[in-house]
Amino acid sequence: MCNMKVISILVMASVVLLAVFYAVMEEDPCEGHRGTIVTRTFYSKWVRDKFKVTVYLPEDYEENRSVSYPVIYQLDGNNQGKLTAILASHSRCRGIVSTGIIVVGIGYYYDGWYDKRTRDYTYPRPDTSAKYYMYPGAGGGVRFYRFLKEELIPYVDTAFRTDNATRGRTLMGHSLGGYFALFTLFYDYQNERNPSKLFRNFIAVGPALDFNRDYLLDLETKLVLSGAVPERVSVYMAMSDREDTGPVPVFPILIMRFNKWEYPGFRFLTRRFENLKGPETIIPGYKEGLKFIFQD
Amino acid sequence: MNQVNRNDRLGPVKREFVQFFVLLKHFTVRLLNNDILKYENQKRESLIVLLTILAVAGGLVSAVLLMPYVGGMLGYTFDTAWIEKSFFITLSMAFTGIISVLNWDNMYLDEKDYLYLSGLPVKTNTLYAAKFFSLLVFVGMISLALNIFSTLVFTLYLGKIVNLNPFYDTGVFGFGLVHLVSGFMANLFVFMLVALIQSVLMTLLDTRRFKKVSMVVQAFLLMGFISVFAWFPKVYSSIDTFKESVSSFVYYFPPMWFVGFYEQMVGNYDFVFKPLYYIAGIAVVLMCDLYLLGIPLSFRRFSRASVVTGRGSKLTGPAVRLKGWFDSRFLEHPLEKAIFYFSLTTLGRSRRHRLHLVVSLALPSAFVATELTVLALTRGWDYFKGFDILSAAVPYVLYVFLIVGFRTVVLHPVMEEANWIFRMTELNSPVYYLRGLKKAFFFVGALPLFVLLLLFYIFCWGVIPAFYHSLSAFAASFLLFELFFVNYRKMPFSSGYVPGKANIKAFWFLYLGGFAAWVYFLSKLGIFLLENPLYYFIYYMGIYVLLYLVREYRHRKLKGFRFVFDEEPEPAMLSLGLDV
Repeated sequence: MCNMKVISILVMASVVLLAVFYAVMEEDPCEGHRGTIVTRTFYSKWVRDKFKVTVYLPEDYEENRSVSYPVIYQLDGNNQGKLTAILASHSRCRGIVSTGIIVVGIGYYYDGWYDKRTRDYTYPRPDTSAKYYMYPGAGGGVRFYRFLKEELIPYVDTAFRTDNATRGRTLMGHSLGGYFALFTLFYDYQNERNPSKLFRNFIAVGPALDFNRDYLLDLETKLVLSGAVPERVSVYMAMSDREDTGPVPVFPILIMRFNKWEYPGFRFLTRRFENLKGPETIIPGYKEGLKFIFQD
Repeated sequence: MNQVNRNDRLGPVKREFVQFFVLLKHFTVRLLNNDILKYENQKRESLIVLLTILAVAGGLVSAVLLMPYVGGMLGYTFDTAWIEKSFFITLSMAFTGIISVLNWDNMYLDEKDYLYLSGLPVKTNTLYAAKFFSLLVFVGMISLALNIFSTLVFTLYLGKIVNLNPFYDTGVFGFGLVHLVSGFMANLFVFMLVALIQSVLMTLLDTRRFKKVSMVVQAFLLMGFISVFAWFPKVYSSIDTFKESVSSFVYYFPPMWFVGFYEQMVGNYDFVFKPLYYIAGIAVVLMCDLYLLGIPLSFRRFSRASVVTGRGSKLTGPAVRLKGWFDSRFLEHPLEKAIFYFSLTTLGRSRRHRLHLVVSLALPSAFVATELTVLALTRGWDYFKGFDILSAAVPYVLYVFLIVGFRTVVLHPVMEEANWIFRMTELNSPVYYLRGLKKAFFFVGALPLFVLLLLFYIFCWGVIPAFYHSLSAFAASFLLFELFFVNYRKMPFSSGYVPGKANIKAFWFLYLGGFAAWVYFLSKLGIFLLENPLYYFIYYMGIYVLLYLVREYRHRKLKGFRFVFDEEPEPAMLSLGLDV
């Protein structure tokens, strides 16, 4: 083989040059979630099933024993709980959000989890011509809501130092999870005798708005007509421009409705991501939603 | 209740490695999932077929090239083998160039990567390194596919000869390795060169302008790379002379750098190859360095720019009046107008559709431009002054490809599930839908091409003959368009698409024959009309009558038809002929 020396020198020189360049580049010092993780199997009397509840505590939870933290209840907690914890932790480290956050991932044990999420995140029972009719157990949203209200939230508030006064609780989900978040907003403030104001913040990314046709729109109308006053509520909705392709484009209609809300302290942000497919909106949607809710 | 210790189970270094490999896989898959392969919903299969074709083509071309060496033909020795290598490396580089242009959007970290990754705890160095290595893996795969059989052929055919020569100092295994490495370096250089062009554009232009300019640059690059297949075989016979005379061509023609590298590595210490060997090494290293410098720039521009952009600017002032005049003059019916603007907006927004259209036009344009350039260089510019069949054929070739490209593009839905709006609003007047589509084609496709051809022919023949010929070709394109759309029953960009209906594998000879006959007949007729302009009257009458007949046929055949939204596969595809 001929003159390898020059080639070697060239390669070495370029490696050194790049190493210097990359070394002087500003590096992101933030890491992922490093706080304590608590996992618990939770049997719900309302749903009559067990849940895998994973609580991600902030990094400084153990050190600052006098501090309480806001809580995010993350639907589809199996795969999205940790993601939200990482996003929250990273966003705090980079100064995007101003506080540590407890993330409660509400997940399932992996025996038919897709059917279970359809059962829990939907209401009412879909009619025969609706898209989700094929899931026989669909429509149990109210039972799941009661599970949150009467079983899970009391447990979390007792077991951990939660701060529900400053910002309120946050409910966050994607697809059917996003649908359930919006359903909870409309349902909680009108169907309960005493509106519990269980959650004040709702992050719905790619919500399955086509569930049971335009049921959510009806629910919103009922809420407005009921005279209930959702105070200091924040709603973040995001969707890919490749979704919401059903005969009734619910997303823009819902945006118009929310824009008309003039309740005290109501905040609303919406985003339509271009060129992203449905699940691809999860990370950017959650990231932006967290920023919207938790940035001072 | 289980509590997990705050210390992560993975150490920081191991975590970074895991992240690196996850990202490497992600970026490589995105490079492989090219837009061009997306239509069939069988990306993996299409990719395997493509790589297999590449491998077989590489092997076949090598075998044909090196055939004289097997027979030991006079004049074919180890000292002349570099000529065949130059041929193979040049075509391989041109092909990689085409692939790199088709992967234009995946060259650097893009908006999607920024949206995903900027919120996650991934070190930027890990991210950039993963992107760089994904490109190396991708180019490696392409190079391996192109060279896997050719390496065998080159080693079997030349390895023995090479090792008989006492001046060559490589073994058979080493020879094969050199072949692979040289091919990889050459392909990597092209890939990085395209990336460099992109990074220069990204640096100079803002995001909005960059998107607009990108498509034009891609079209020219595609034409450039495709044209290599047309002109290099003509130059190839003279390449030995270039080397003997130490022509500057040898130093300025990148494939020769890698031929020099190849030759030096197998021990051919010819003085011409020595500097080329260094140039090849420097070029590849430099390109990789520049690419690595470009990655952070590309990523950071998204942090500066607004990530989610608006739907484009609104027209103001004279543009509004012009649009109003245009609409009232050419788009009288609201359905026509809706389909016209829907088609234009779709083409403007869907990169996939634009790319298909560009690819279908780049191929003939490259060959036409090459042929004309070769003619100009070999016979002088005066050659074009006369009415020649080659120059007369240009518009007919281009119009055919434009119409075929347009016909193919409109068949593919942008988002099939969104066609409910057309289903709900479909009126019993399909003629307006087709008119809108036709006008979109003529105003954004045929008319600009007519202007370009007119300018070309004015340069060649002067104003009057140029106008006559361009206009006659333009009129013929009307007829061709009608013929291509005679059975068209789909909503453009919206109806479902089942691939394979054209059955190119079975009918390619018919398509090719039809194309050749159309171009030849009309070119001959075009020259005849230029020499006998009085016959233009009969020509246009003929076109008019044929247009009328085709339209009548379509009206009769498609009377009261409904648009097809859900295309069914051919029965043979459903049953595979097993239902008898």
